[in-house]
Amino acid sequence: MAEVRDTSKAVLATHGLTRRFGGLIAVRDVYLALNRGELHAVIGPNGAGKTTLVSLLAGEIRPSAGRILLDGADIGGIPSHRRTRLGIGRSFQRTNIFPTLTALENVRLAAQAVAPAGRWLKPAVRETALIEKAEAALARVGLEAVMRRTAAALSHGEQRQLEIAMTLACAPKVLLLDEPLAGMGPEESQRLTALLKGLAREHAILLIEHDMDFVFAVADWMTVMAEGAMLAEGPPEAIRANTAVQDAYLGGHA
Amino acid sequence: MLPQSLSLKLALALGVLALVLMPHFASAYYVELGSYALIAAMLALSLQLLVGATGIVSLGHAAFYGLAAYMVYFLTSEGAPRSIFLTLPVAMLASGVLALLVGALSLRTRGFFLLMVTLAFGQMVFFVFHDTKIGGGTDGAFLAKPVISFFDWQLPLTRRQRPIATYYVALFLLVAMYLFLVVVLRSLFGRVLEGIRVNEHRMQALGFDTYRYKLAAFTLAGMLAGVAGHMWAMHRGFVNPELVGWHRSAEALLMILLGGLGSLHGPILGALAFTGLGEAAQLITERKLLVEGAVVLLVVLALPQGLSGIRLPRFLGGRRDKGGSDHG
Repeated sequence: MAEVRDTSKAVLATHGLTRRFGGLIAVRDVYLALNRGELHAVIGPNGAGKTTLVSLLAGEIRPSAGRILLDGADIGGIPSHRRTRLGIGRSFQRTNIFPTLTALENVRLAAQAVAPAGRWLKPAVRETALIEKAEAALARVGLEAVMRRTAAALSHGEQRQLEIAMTLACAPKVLLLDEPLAGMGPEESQRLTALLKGLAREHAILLIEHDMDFVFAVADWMTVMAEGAMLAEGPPEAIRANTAVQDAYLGGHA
Repeated sequence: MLPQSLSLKLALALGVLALVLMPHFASAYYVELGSYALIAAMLALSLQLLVGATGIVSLGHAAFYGLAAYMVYFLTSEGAPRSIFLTLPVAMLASGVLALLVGALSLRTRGFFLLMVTLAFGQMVFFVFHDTKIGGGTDGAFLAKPVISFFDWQLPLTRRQRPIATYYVALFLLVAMYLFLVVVLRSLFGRVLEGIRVNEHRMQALGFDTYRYKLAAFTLAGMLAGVAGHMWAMHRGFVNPELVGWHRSAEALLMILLGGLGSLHGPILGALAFTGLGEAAQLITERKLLVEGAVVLLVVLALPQGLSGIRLPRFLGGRRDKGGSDHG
């Protein structure tokens, strides 16, 4: 790889991360480094192991081999609910929200998840710090006008934005975004592009996305996966020019 | 879950007032029946914390109810009546400890499996009382009813006044339990339970250790069922294994279904209606269970939100039910 970047201060890094499902190796010997202020896109054809990679980082499944380092500390054995507290936020490929609750309550619950355990019998409506946090996250993604509506009544694009607001409310250092654009219209994707660029300044973002125009527009660094393994990594221009990547995945697109 | 509209709060207050006044107008027989209905309402209400609020359906809830009744028996079997200020906390504690144990093991499963595991635990407790002599075996046993007393002073009551006193104690505890659950469901803890009911997987992904929250709810529900069981012993002065059996758990579930899964007052309404229905059915036919079953079936089919889903017509101040919202 011709391109070199400083990964010594990586917020989240993996060393030889591997996951087997029986005979299938879904993720094979992956080395990743996510820096703060960088949007790191992982692309690859279906079945390349991208979602498995996110699940490994989020702690929903355990690695078969290799290490996951958050700020230098190994978190490979820590369950998912505790990783959220450590600063790893995840949004889901398929919209995963609380449909019968209001948008505000969806995000407020997310903020409560990482809040220090307080007086558990205190009325939720009086916990103003949590509500303010939730409102700020909703404003960040542009949902402040509809936050009193139930999540089920929001449009698909708004639900995707709600997902991101829920992830933000946990005050993460690392954002794992699994296809945030899925099913969004062009106008909504444009708004999300601007949002992600803004978020990338303060977070380390791992983005999985199929929309190549979008990926090349927002990514600072890219990793290409095929059959669970890393095929290439580098800045977007280098990936676009990489012939191996073109053959394996991009086809005539680039 | 919680009453939002003013008209509903008013209706609930009027309902309590009617229950307060009832013993002044009704015969001793109906006061006894009223106590029975209030105790059933407490059992159903305690179960609603699991079913309606958290989305956990248990078929072993009567174990905690029955154990509390037996605890009263263990405390007073020597014949001397004890103070309710001793028997009630001990009964609640015993039920809570059992619920903690049963919950710790059964909440590792979900849905149908949870239903079966709680059923199995409930039946284990049932057979302990059924097949051993510790609680009088299959025949059950009489006990000295707890009394309202502080140290050596005892509330002076005639034989005729005692059932009325029991009725009011049951009513007070039911109202207290309802208000306590209002506080619980409004709290940060209650919001977590709501999140678990709507989408438990998402709660876990957000970072909530949902097992612990469910276990806390299960234990709390068990303790509250213990209040109901204790009041049964105080009301009847008799315990038998039937109190612990799965039939009693299923009956509490039916009451919730009848009254409405979506509201906290639903189980109370359901329990009062179910008890009244049983009484009415007994007057007209010998096939009481058949009538009960048919009525419950009709209500559930016609009113998906149970009796509490009935709305007043608009010109009487009723609210149109808005679909989608779960905050009713």
